[in-house]
Amino acid sequence: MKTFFLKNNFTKIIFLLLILIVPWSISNLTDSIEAQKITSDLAFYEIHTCEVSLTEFLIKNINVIYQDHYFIKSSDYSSITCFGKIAGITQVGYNFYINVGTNSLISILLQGAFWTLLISFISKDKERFYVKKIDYLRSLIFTAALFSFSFFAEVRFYEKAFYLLDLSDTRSYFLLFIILAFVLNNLIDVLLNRFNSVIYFVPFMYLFIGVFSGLNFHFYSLIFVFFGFVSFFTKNINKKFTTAYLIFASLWCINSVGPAYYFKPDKLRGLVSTMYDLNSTFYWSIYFFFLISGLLYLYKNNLKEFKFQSMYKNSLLVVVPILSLGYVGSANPFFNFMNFYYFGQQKVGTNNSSPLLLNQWSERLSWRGFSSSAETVGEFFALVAILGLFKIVKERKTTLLESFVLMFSLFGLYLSNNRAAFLALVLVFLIYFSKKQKLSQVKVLIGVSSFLILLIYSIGFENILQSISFSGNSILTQANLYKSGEFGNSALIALNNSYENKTLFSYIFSFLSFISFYLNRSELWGIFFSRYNPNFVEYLFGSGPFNFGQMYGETYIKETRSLLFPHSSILSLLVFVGIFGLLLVTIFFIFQYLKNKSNLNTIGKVFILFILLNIIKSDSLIYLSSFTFYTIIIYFILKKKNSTLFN
Amino acid sequence: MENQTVVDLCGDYPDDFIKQDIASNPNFVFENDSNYSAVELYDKDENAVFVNSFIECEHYVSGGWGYKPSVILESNLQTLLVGVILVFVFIKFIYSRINFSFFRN
Repeated sequence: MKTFFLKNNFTKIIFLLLILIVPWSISNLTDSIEAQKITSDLAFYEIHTCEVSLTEFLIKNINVIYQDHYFIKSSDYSSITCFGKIAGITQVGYNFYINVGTNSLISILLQGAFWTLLISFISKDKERFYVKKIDYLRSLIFTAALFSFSFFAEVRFYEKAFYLLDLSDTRSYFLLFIILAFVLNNLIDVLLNRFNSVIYFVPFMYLFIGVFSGLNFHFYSLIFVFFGFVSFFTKNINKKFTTAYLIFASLWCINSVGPAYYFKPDKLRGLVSTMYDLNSTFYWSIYFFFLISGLLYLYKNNLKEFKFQSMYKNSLLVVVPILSLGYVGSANPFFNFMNFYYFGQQKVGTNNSSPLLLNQWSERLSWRGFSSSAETVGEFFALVAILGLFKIVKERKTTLLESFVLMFSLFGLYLSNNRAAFLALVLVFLIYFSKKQKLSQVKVLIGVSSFLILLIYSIGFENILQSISFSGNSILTQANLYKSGEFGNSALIALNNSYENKTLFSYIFSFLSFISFYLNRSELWGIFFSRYNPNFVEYLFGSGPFNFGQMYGETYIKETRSLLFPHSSILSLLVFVGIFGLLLVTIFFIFQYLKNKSNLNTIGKVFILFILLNIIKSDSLIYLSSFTFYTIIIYFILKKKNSTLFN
Repeated sequence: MENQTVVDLCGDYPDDFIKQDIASNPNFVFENDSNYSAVELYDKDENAVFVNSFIECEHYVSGGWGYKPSVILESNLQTLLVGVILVFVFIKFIYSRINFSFFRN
């Protein structure tokens, strides 16, 4: 298997090791303070905050590395001198929470250097990608300025991230600008030599998630937005899209003037607006425009050479590390912390070290492991499994490594408990297999019957027997259960009226309810509709990209078991761009599909089908890894002759 | 003569401010100024004191009290960080003239 990695990279490896070890080992060795054994008497660590390094602490308390009642957390609101040191320990019951100082400014530099070094391991292209010096400089400055502006726009989130950095002082933004420009410059310098290779490493975004500790953006965003600006300055942007987007962005900004709503990003950290107000909406509107432009620029400039095979090989390399790091992290607090910091997780990996756990009704519980979302990572495993299965069917042979990874992908899918992704996998595989093998009608019938049996088993036999009126009302029933006031929000009032008057819309919505019931989405979508409270403009044009602040802050509903997202990228899009935006996106997609139909073969079609089926019932599009992975797949399937692409 | 550190910490000098020789008067008592919002000052050992009038504040600041040392240290380190980056960029620029690259890119 061809590898992108060079053998002689010792200097880089030494640097990498230094970045891994040194930050957690710095402390004053001349003082008389020595780490103490951790007990219920935590007086020592209360007195000597930020005086014992993590390494010293772990040497004295080796059991913290592997015993699961210890939790090592990063404390981003720490001083620079406190970086890598024990900032405090708290005991709650039998559990000990160990806070390690991780100053956000240092984290930008440290994590930025770490990930840039990793990219530098990818072998160089024959020629460096050329960007005019003036465009390079302009894009660098504008990208760094945009992200510096994000600290101002989301000040409520960032005031808890930067220790003693006054975000009302211009000097602080200058400091942040210098740091970001420095990290970005090094990154782009390395990247331009590998412009045509890095695109194959998109699956690695599921492993190196790349969210800076304490911040609300991805390392990759810097790259995409930079190329977005390059594309803008080189006039490589679509004028129609820009005009339409400007209209939408203006409406989002005008509509956001008024009350501000805060949104705790939780597992969406990196790609979600934490505030709903003018500044934040303005920032996210610009950010999203350049993110999309940057992605398209990357795709367009790789269109000619792109081969799916190379990306598939890299997907194989990601599966086992995701599973094993997830498991190692779940059982070992130290590795959990390291995973969080060096892989840039949005949320600390799970501490549930029993992936096969069942609930009180003997149902399998989903295990998210390394990822912040079991559903999203489950889709990734399913996609890798599809690629592997297609390859086996097509070439009638496989390697040991491929079979090994295929098994792990299916195992990962099983652990994630993403039944919809599994069913979609079976469905697209059956379609491909029957087309490829030109199966007889009997065999097709056997395949379809097997799929239906699987479907019924997955849905549950007792659910199949439910009446259509019950399933057709399921979303509305759940929405009414969760509403807090007498009447509920605007969406719920409209729905109730529609059902009462038996309008055409109520029948359409009943069909959606019917589907949601069998997808086990009635409750989640019901919660969505009990919260969704748009005015007329918001209903038509949405609240702005990645903006959940208004929806979650404006309407009070009855308590849910956790912070539940819509679990449908379509519903998320409805919040972001409104019904009109959703229609435009759909029409654009259908238009592109019909226009490029001659490029498509069965593999291309079933891939699109798989992605569409999944985004209907999952939040995948609000995670940068899956957003990029899906857009790259769809873009190349539509734009490139599939017979060449999948060759 | 106005001291800028005093202005930064205590606020502008009052128009009628006259510096008094407080140190030579062991019985001097600072009177609270109800129009003055209290300011917290620190010495180098991080001992804290609240001052309740401009005269008191000016006296303490002139005697070496001021910002919290850890705050000054953090601010200095932040400035140092930017300084190091700028020096690094400068060195990289110079070395790039002789074909050197930090990440061997």
